[in-house]
Amino acid sequence: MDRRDFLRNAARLGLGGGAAYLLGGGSVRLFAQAATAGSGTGSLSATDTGKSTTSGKPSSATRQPDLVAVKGGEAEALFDAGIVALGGMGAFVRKGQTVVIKPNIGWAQAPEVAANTNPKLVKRIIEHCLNAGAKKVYVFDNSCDSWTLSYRNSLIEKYAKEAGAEVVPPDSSGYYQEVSFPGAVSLKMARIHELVVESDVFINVPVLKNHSGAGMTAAMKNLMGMVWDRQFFHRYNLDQCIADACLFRKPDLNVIDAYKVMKTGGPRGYSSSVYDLAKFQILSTDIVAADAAASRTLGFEPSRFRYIRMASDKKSGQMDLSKLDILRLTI
Amino acid sequence: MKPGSRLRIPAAQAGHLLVRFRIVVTGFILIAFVAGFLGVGRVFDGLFASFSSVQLFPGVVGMVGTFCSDGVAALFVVSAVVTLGLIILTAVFGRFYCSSLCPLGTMQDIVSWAGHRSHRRRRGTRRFAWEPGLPFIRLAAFILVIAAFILGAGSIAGFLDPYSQSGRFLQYTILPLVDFAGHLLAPLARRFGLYWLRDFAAFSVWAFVAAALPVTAILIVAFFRGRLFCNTLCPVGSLLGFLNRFAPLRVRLDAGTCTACGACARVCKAECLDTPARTLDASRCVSCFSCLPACPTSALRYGPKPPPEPPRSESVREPTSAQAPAPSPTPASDPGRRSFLKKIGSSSVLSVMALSAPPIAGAVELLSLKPARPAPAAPPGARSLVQFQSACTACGLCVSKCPSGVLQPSIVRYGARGFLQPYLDYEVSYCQYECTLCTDLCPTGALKRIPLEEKKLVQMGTASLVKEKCIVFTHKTACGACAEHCPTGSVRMVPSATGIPEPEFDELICIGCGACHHICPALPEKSITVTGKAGQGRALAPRKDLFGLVESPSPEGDASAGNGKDGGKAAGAVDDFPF
Repeated sequence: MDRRDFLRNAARLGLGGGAAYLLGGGSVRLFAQAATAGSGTGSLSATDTGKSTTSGKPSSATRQPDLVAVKGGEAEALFDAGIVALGGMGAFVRKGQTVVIKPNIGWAQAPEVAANTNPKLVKRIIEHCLNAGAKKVYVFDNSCDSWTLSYRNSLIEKYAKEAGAEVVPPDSSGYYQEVSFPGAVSLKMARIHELVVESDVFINVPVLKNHSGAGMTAAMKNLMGMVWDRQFFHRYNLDQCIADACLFRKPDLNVIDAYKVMKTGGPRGYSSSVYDLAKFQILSTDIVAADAAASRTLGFEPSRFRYIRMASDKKSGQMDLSKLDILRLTI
Repeated sequence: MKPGSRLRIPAAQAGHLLVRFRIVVTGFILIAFVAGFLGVGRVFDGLFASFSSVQLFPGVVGMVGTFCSDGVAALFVVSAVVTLGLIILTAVFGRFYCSSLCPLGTMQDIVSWAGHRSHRRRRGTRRFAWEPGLPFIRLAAFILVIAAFILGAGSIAGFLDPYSQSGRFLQYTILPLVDFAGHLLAPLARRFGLYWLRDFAAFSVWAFVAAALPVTAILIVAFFRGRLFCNTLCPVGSLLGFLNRFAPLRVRLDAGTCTACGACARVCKAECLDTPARTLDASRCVSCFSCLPACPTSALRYGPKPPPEPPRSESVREPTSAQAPAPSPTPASDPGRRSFLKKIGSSSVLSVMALSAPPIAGAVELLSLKPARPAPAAPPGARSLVQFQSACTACGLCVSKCPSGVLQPSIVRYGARGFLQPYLDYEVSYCQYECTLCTDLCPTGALKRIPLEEKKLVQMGTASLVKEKCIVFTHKTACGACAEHCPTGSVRMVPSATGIPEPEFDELICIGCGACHHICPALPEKSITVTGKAGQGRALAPRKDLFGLVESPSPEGDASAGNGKDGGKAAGAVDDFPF
């Protein structure tokens, strides 16, 4: 309930109030863009009134959309606009709280390959968190490739440190705690990083791309990087485990980086991979909704991905995009 | 200064200064060496690691080995500068290397200093004494090292090399202890929000023991007998000791001024000062300068040979003072030692020739137990197992810096000949596609330096896929772990009739990095495994159309007909948004 109050307060302050959280001179410009975008597409009111009752949220003129899709700018600008539409980072992070940001840092690849989350986006999110009064912001991912090379080559380590975050090595098994996933079918128990267990705020920042095993990797698949034993997923029904992984703690916010989308050759990326420079970003508190929107962005129906259907069956979120309040912004 | 000395003269003060200078230099060198292997705070990996291996033994091996296989390559130039630089400096300034640069020498000095302390507390004096040299053991050890290289077993030579011994001691013995401390401190550290303490990496008990035993033995000997190892078994000590004899600048004993009081011999950790005979064995002097401030009459000094003097008196041997040790049973015969040193000299030339000789196949067979099956894969740049095993002294530098930890010391995988030499342990991790660190750092040339783009094609091994063991077929669930980890696309998932993508393998572009092997979750046996190649090959470059032209693999065959590539035009799309 606290968070909802917060959302309401933040919303009362309006988009301008949210924009005030931003740093520097860019805030004024971004506020203007966000405001224009909102009124320009006219989608805010349209989707609001149409579907709000089914989403189970309190019907209020000032409440937040279920999902925000932003397009047409650099990753940082997309996030600036998107987070304003969700009431600003203050709606998620309160003063003195600890935040863990979980990007995709799976591969020792350069940012151009788009196998990892855009480092500039990670930096921007950290800045927003610290600006909202976060006591400490942690960044980590249990990489597939060597974590030192992945952290370095992705530039996420560099940008996150610049922004003032604590970049946490993921290679010490001692930091992973055994937790249970209530209602899980396959992944009933697993060791996950204690930062996910203990941090006040959990922000999931995946990159959207093709995936050879799961078909697509976005928000839910990204949670695999909080787990110590990745092989368990592959061994005992990958799709089911991905769906189960969000049963312990759903991220408080999912930000899907779809700025440059790898459409083939994922998740690692090859010189022959096909890309779509979508300049797109999806923000949602609903991890299933975020993945449903992501699959459309990749060019597929959400139902095509088994783990999305499984997560929907477990009521982890709403995969039917027609039942969501979606705010579409173009900047 | 010793309380007993009566005179306080410039020579002794100069000696003090030299000792202090040496201690400062060697302190920095040892700290940098340790930092290079253990990686201070995971920050300075490359810088100190390169510095760590600026040592004579790997320099010689790198210079000769690289020249024979690759001619005037970059590593040849680097190691030639190091080697010849050290040799020339030694030929001019004496055997300073062993007391200033050698990490094992410094470790021994620390222990032997502790020995002094404990001894002084008990008996009120330091307690070394002249001991005759052991020329035959010294020569035998030197020949053994050369023979090991001729026979193509660098790992055996590495057991006598002070650099390799120090390196693996840090990597396989000290690092696990540091990690253990980190493991214990981690709960405390995270209270303060600190997460950088590292946990245990792959830990091998046998490597721990194999690295700890020789160095511990050397250090125990050092506690009682100072630099005995350096003057009997160490090949570097033998070579530099030989050069020291002819160095214009070195520690010298003036028999005319010497009163044979024995003060110097008591502090001489090389045990090379024969005070009754008033001689100094220059082949064993490690230029530590400790004797200079100890001498009450300034008979010992560091410098050039004095101008010829009137023939020195065959002075009466004064009875040794009360604290002085018993006179040595056999005053060393100079001519004998000289001829021995000549032998060493000629054998050092031999060693250079020997290194260039190709390994003798028969002798190799004699030494090697059969390598384990499946054959282990050597690191990139090894070229062939024979070439790699000849030059690798198992110093462990590549193992300590490998970012994924895939490089592990072989206990039995290579057979006896490759003891502690690194191989790719796919159970631990896999070789990183975007990395050439081991080839960049290898100081002996056992791993050839290759540019990244070339290394990406080096075939260290080959995978083989047994579909009957694959999760996709045995469990009928999606997996694809091998394909997602494969850096070249030689394993990839292809759409199938069942709707679950199935793995397909193309040997020609496989480089044997072991990513698929490492990650394959199949039990009880992995479905895809990598076997090392005795001779590394060159993989074909991945095809350009490998992923570009095929349709994106989808997990659901059923849905593909209707809305596969519907882009942004799906139902419910608003404006040009895809939803």
